[in-house]
Amino acid sequence: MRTYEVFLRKSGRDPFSHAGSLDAPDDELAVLLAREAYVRRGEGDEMWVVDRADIRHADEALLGPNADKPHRHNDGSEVAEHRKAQRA
Amino acid sequence: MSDTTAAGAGAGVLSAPAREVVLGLADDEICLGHWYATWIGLGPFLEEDLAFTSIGQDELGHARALFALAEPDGDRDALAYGRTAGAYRCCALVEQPVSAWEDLFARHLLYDEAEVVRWEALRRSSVPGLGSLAERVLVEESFHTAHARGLFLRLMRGGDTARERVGNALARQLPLALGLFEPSIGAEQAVADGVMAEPFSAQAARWRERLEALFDEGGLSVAWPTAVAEPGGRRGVRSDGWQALFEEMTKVYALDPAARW
Repeated sequence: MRTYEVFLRKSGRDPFSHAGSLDAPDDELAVLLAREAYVRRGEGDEMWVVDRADIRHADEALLGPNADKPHRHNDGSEVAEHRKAQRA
Repeated sequence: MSDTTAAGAGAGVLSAPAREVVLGLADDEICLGHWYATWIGLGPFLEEDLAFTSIGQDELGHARALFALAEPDGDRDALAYGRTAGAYRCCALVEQPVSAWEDLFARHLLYDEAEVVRWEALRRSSVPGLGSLAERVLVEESFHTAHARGLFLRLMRGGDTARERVGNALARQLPLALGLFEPSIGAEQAVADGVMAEPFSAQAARWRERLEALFDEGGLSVAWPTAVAEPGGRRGVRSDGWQALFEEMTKVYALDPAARW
């Protein structure tokens, strides 16, 4: 058995989003079974089924350093307040 | 409870031979749908469990649509659940209990291949609404057969145990499955009236061709049975599995015939 990740989207609306995963013996049956596991009620018009082994998994050490960079969260509110104070 | 299927009586728009054809199919669908429901949660793995449940629900949906055609203004529940045993028209394949999952799988494979052939014969039916229903159902059936065939071919590559279990289950179910194509009462007239495109014998031959090609592809030798096991379903003869099935299937209806979801 292989493990697959299933992504769905409604046409013309949101981007693809992760619906869940499933086990199947191969690609062809994975698509059939994904339909029954995740799209029984028309949850999507388009479906991607990806073998988990084909997903490149990033090293957590690569992402970790970016978790501590508050200067990248600047929403401009401090600048706006400063300018407002100057106008007053 | 009233017997609503006395041939022709109160049948409204359907001729008696047309009604026999429609009920033969509807009664197969509702009974097989019930067997799928009894296996919910027991499939070999979650994904197949969901797929079987979904297919069973489709079969119940087909039954519902066919009962509506047979009884446009009447009580569909009474037609589905309230007839006397001899007024049902299902075949023994869908009456017998399912003792193992591979037997349900064998039934799925044999039944859905038959369904495609049966519904194709109804595409241009003279019965109002039946042709368009056939078109809708055949779309669902293309999934059912893709699923059954896909799983069959993989099980055939899955080693000796898988081959043996599937082969034995097919050998058990196939003699019963021949009953799917036993002629309904007045079948010749139904063909003459354009209710269906070809007689059951011709449908049975096409079903056999489809299956034998598939068995060949899977490298499985299956001895084709010489006679139907438990014949007579289309004429109202019930097999020994019927009573228990009927009691289980009609439990809610027996408690409260007016119950609604």
